Amino acid sequence: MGEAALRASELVEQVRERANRLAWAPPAHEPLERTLERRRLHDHPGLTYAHRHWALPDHSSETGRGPKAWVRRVVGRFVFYALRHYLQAERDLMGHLVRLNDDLAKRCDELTEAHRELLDELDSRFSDAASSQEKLATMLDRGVQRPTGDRGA
Amino acid sequence: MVVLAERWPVGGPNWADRDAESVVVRTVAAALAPSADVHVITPQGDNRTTIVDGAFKVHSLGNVIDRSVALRRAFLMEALLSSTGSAHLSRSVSARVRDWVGDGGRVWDGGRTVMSSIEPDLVMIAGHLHSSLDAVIAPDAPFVALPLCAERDGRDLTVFEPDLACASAIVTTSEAEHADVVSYVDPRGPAVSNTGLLVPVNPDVRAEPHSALAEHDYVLVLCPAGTDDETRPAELARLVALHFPQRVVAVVHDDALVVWRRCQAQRLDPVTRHMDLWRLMAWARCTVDLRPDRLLALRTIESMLLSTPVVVPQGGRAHRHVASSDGGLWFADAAELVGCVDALVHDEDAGPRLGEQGRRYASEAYGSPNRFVDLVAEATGLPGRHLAVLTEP
Repeated sequence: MGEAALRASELVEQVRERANRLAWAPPAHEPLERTLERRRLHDHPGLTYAHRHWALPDHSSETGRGPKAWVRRVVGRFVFYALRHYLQAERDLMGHLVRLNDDLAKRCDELTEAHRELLDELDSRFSDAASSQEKLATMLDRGVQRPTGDRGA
Repeated sequence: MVVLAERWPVGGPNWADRDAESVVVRTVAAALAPSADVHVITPQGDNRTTIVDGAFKVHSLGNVIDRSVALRRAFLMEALLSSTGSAHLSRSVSARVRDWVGDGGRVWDGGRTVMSSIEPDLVMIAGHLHSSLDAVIAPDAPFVALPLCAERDGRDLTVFEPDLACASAIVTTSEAEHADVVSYVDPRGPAVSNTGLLVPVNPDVRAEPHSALAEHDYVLVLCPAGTDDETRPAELARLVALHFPQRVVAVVHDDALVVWRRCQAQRLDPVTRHMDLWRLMAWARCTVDLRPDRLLALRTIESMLLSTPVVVPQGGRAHRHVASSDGGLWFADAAELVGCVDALVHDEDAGPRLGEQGRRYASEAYGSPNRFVDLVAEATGLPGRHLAVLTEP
């Protein structure tokens, strides 16, 4: 036994019934929520502090008088002399880290701005789409009596 | 066998270059080719030449075609028919109208010479708004009519030139055309035969999808208009694309293939090759034919042959095919259009079943070369006789 034929006319009748029940309302869009922090990361106090204090001392700062101060200066010079390569490397590292943080903050601010512009653009497109749909629905509503298919071209 | 055609399509891969009437004339003539040598005489061309085109020998007359004369004469005859309330004008009145309006210049000038050199036994006249036929055949010469009677609408005239009542046989290529022609012909007049047609599609297109839509389940929309046109079909195509934002909708415009995804249009190169169009049809969820041709609805038949259900406007030849075959759905307005596409897209069962039903119908009526050749031979009373085919666009 073959499968019973599917009657196109019955399907068209169902489509027609659904078309007769179509209800429409123009879509309304709320503005997209802006959740990102508005403060620029480039102005972060931590970054300002890092800019000011990234350079660690590379020599002894002992300036007192007397035998103890003399001993501290000598020991200090000795210690700084012994660790001079390490301190220079750490100074370079800190400098790079601060510059990297600086660039990251700048990039982060750019992305935040781009995100804001994208949300604005999306809001604008939603508005355009809603407006277009409203025009389309108006046209369809008006065109109920218009001929379709090839006759209306 | 001689074929006289105002337009004779030269074979090629571009589907948009070949209108339905030309395809029908060429295909019917090809069905007669096994029985006789087929000569084509056409007024088109820049000068008088004779070339071999496949199974046909084409004689170009190089004459100017002035269709306005035939149209003016048809208008006048239509007015006379309306005023008298009769279905046909007498030969004397037709001749007088021809005298008043003119005979369309020298469309067939030189055709009589070619005809006499071939000496066909029978003439087939394709088309129904001819002018200056006397320049190529004698008024009382027997002929088979291929009227190419397109779907009627308010703009069409009811005038047939030559008068179908004088034909020895009439050949139509669809049930709807057959019904239309029968309504114009006296029941005691010539036999009207529906031969169907051979509409070829390449089944190999099912092996590989179109490269632009290889990984997508899409709806195909045939929109005979430019991308930026504001015609009704273009409006409806955009409506379908925007109504199904989660679907891929491919719209075949005259000047581009536009692929819609998420309401965004990507414009690609136009589809010109027949193979590409068939490939798009074969892999589509459904084909929406927004403006089928009024003679046969060729694209609709091709989609059905490829087992893809179709959605067509209500009324007309395409609607008749779809309703006869249960091979798709039809719409009367925009809401029904999106409803039909929605039904085929979301009902996983309906689309394939309608597609298969359409394929069965189209294969029987438009996919069998042997059946078609036999029916044409039977209708014309050929084989073994000489035949001439006169065509008019």
